[in-house]
Amino acid sequence: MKRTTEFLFGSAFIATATLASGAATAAPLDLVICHIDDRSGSAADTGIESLNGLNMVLEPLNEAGGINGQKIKLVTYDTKTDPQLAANFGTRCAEDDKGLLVIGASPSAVANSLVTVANQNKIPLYVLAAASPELTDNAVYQFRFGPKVTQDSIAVANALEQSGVKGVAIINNSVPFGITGAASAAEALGKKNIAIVTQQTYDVAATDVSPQVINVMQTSPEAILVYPYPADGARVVRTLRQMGLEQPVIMPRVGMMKAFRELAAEVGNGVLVPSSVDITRPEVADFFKKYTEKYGPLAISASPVQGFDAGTLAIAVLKDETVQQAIQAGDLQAARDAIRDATQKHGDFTGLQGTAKGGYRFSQSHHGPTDDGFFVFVKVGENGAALESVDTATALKN
Amino acid sequence: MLARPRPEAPRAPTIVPVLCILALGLALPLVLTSGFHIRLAMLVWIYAILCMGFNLLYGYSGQISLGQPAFYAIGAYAFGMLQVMLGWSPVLAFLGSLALVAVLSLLIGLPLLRLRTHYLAMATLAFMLIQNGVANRWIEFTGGQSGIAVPPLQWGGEPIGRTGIYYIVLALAAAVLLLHDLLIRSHLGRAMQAIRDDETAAQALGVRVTRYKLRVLVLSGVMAAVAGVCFGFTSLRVDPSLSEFHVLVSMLTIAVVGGLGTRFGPIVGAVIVVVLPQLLTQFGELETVVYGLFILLFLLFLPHGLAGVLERRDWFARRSSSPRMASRTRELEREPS
Repeated sequence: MKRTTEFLFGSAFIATATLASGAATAAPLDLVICHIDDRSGSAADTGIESLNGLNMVLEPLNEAGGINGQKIKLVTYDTKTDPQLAANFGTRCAEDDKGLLVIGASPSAVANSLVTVANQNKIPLYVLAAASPELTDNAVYQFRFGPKVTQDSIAVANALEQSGVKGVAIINNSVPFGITGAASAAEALGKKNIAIVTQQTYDVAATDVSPQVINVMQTSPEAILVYPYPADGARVVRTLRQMGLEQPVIMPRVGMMKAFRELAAEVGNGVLVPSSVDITRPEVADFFKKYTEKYGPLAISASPVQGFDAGTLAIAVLKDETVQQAIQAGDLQAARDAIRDATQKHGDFTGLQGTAKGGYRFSQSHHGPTDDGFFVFVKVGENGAALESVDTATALKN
Repeated sequence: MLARPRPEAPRAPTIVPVLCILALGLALPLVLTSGFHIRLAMLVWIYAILCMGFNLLYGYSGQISLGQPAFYAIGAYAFGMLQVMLGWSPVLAFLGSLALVAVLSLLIGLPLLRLRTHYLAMATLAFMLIQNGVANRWIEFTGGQSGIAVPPLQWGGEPIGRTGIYYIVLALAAAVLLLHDLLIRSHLGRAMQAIRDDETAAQALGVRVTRYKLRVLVLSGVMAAVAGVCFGFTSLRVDPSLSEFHVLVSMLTIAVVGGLGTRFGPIVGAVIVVVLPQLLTQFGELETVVYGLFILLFLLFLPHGLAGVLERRDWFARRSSSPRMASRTRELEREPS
């Protein structure tokens, strides 16, 4: 009897010890973040700059010992503006790399593809520059740091209304950015009763855009709104100026891109751009100073700032108590869900993008920048070498 | 002055290699370690289906169509939209999308197949651009840039898992591969090759050139649609990127790397094009350069692609060991050029 009792107690002790050691040996998860973005091809600048911005947050953190002694492992993939490749990398991050979070997706096509992967694999996705307006509609796992193209259009329509402009011409290329941009501008301008005197579309590879510009000339608009890619944007502005059109030109997003400014050179001077980066904010100026020291000269650009802001929020979220509990328990899906919840409950978040009047808003129903107060206007100067603050009321009355 | 005789096309007398490939495909999920690897395997089969149609059209019939991505996209869109908008079942939507693409390719083929070589390439490329433009701009109908969501395939009310989806893709790929192989080895395959080598001579021999060309165009369009449907239920989203240049570039790369006008070129090429970018990620910023160099090496040293080397190896050996061919070769070498 005694032997039996000893055996039973012994067995129970061994079983308990085994279970306890099993629980104790459940290794904490690695802090893996995947950066999946274009670093080659037509949108390479966005991905390279966003990665640099992200590294400016992660490198100092890792040098200081990481989060609770765990360093963040950054896995990077170049998507080459290929949505299918992006989906493969997204799946690889979720399933093979055991990523906790994906940051990237600057082109809209890549972002669309990664949104599907994020929802299938239930992994949070911080979308950067993508302009596509529907990306965060009914969003569960995806959050955006770049504004929607519709938000750019609202900023443009507000500025035009405040300047008393009544008639605008739109020129856009035939790729999705141009088409969606023009459509959102038409909607926003319509709400302000600003007439679109003509809308001209050209092929992105067209070497001659003078037919479209002649049509614009015939309508005598007060301002010209252009939705191009960098190379064709330079062609449009050069043709406008060569044909004697002196009206203010507004070029959302692309006007800030280095490739456009270098190609447009002197004809780019004065092009107005709604910018989500307000260089008059001291912390923003400081960021660009540090960026220039580390990676070389760069005029104002939203991409490094978006990478930095996404990294900053990611760190805050990874430090969240619930997230840490799931990470320490080694439960990958619980950790991802906790990251999603922690992002949602973050509320208003002031990053380097936005202005004193508007920043990010992360809640259950809103996953990105606020509709109002997120933009200031800048103009291209010094033959493309600089982006300068500008008073739109004055610039649009010229 | 005699031209060197063009080598007779290699015969494909046995179906055994096809069955071996399918057996490999069946066993693949047992050895693959993650869902991501199964996804890659699915993409290999999807690109192989797409390129088998292109192989029949260009590799065997000599009709260069750059509009295949448009049929691929239309198949995928139709599969999603018939389910979402009309409430059709996946099987009906599958059949409906194939029928739609067949009719469309027939209508397009009637005027376009009067064209040859680069004129045909340009006309079909224009068709792809039109399709892409419509997908991007008709936002109310196609969802524009964001595209449309494709409902997940279900069995008994539950979504089918990734391995199940893999086997569905494999079954469709098997059907296309068997058809591809059967056609190549059949009377139709020989007629296609005759058209490719010399349309006038083929016509003189009694081959109904226009009819065969049209049949192959429709068939390759339907194969592209099958690939599109597979992509739809694999990725659960269809958007205009399906008919963009990167799909065309992938298709042409598969033709170069795998081997155009070969039995297994589309499969071998698809393996390389899908898997290689994943392996090259370790090269970091040099990834694109290494990929480009790889393609360049293929163009320079393996113009018939990997499958071309494998399929022609025995044939070359037989040719050089055949006394008749050896004597003919010696004869040609003696003749002044």
